[in-house]
Amino acid sequence: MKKTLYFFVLMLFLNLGDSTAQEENYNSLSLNWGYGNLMRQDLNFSKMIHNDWSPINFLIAYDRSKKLEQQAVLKFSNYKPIVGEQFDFYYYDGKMETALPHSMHIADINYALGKKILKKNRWDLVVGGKLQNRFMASDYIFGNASSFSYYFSFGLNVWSKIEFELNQKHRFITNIALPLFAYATRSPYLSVDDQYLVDNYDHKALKAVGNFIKRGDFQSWGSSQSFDFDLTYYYALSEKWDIGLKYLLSMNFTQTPTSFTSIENVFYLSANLKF
Amino acid sequence: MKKFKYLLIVISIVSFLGCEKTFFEAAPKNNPEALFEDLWTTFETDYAPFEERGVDWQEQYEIYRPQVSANTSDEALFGIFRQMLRSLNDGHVSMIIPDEKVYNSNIFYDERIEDELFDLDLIKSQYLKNDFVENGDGGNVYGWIGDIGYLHLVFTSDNLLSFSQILDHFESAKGLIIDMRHNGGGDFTYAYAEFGRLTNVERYAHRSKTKNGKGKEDYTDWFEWNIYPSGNYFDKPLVLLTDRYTISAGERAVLALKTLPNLVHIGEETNGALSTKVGKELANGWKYSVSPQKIEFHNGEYYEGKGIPPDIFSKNTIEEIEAGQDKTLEAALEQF
Repeated sequence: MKKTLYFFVLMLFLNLGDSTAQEENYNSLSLNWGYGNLMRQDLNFSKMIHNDWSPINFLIAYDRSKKLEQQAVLKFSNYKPIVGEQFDFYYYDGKMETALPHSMHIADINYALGKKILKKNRWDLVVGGKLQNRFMASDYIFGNASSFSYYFSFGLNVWSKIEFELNQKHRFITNIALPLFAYATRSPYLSVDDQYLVDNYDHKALKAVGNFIKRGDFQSWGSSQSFDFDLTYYYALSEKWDIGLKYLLSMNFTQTPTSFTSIENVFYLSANLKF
Repeated sequence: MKKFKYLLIVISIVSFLGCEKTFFEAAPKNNPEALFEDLWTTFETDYAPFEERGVDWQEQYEIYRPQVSANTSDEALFGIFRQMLRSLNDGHVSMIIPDEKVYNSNIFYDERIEDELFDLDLIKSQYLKNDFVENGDGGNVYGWIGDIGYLHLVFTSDNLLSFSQILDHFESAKGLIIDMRHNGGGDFTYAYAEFGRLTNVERYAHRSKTKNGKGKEDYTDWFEWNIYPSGNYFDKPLVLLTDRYTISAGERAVLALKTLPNLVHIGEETNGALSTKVGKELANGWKYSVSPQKIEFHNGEYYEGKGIPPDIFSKNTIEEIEAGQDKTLEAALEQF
């Protein structure tokens, strides 16, 4: 386990070397917009399973294929689940307010580095490591009371990318990531305790986030699990441009201090520029 | 677009058949009996001050559970919930259902009992002579009554970021009245961070502990809250005013102010809802809130359910208010 870890860390910080020594120079930038579904149950906040479909899903990926394979991904999504229907309610003075849905944000900032270990006919297989940084921040809104929820995770994953070229026009790419370990921090039981209030004492968002992160722990598979998978189909429009469809599945589970389950499915439309 | 959405749903269902049952804990069901069980159980596991409020929650179950059946209407169920939650008489416990007035478990807040015994407009016109400053998003109202400074804190939140500026305004005052009657609470940490100019030494105000699990004794360790000297010490006589509508973060601010040796507390007991509150939801979409903390004053007293007692009791009457008089404020002025 330790040797594997050192191998991935070494790979991540390797000097990528002299570009003149490479056989090919291939970059691509893909822009993706999608329609996604989030199912989440966070027992710190609610016993209910929250479920929402949302068009607010954006993903930008940059891939570079030289001697080593690199992939940088920025992803953002927002979901607004509500139990039952949105409704109005009133105060004693007649002032009306609306019971709004919760708002759940997910942002990923990932970087993967790997090596092509198989290139056979129309198949390419890349294996490496992926730094996966996930920021899940939510506002749980219960009528006139709301609670801020955070779950930030910084992990090192085993990463595998498989590319299959059906012919010159059609190709498929899939990425799979499984965690080796992660440093994670999550809201306390019932969302607010004294430590949370101390962390937020200065009422400066960035400082509070820094304090929340400081309270985190290293997580192993026993206490926290995640699984990330995507499959992309590309159709080549020209030498420079592809269009495509991407399906992404992202799952997160943890049991501390209570059960947290988050499953996201997103179907993206993709445009890919090769340069 | 609708067809596309259905297609996506079908793909998801096919791809992740049984996902919900496999990965999630069973969520409460949406029927009257399950709703009752869920509400009662959540209080059983997450509500902290039963003891302080003298409530036997199991007894409440035995009274109200038999009143709920599969055929209980929403209206009847809301009525049963209201009665059961009234036993707590807790200003932090509320329930919100569609198209209805927010229900508050605390009888003062819910029925607005003696609400009219405090009138800020009367103070503005009769005592401040309409010469006052309002800032902090309406959270601070202050001005002079003769050579005495008067500050009304409408709530306890980021309005207190102006607190030091307000103390500067009253630099030449003989003393300051901090009126926290009808203070609706907010976030007490603003008060503790901003009250530093009122003390020249560190003062221990209160300690609190929070539920951190479902068990009866599952609490965090006690955490001590202090105020620390900061900036130019405002070394003047202070009078604090409270009433039954001084609640939540307002009451925690009162706990800090009551540690000051140069302060006299006049008025009524506070509301007695010192814990923080957290929101919850039922399977039918109704919202409610619970109190997950225990709070102990520096002298070892618990004021949850009782309210923080004043040094000098004073309560206005409706006749005095109608005559344009705030006798509690006048009692404060007599202190200087």
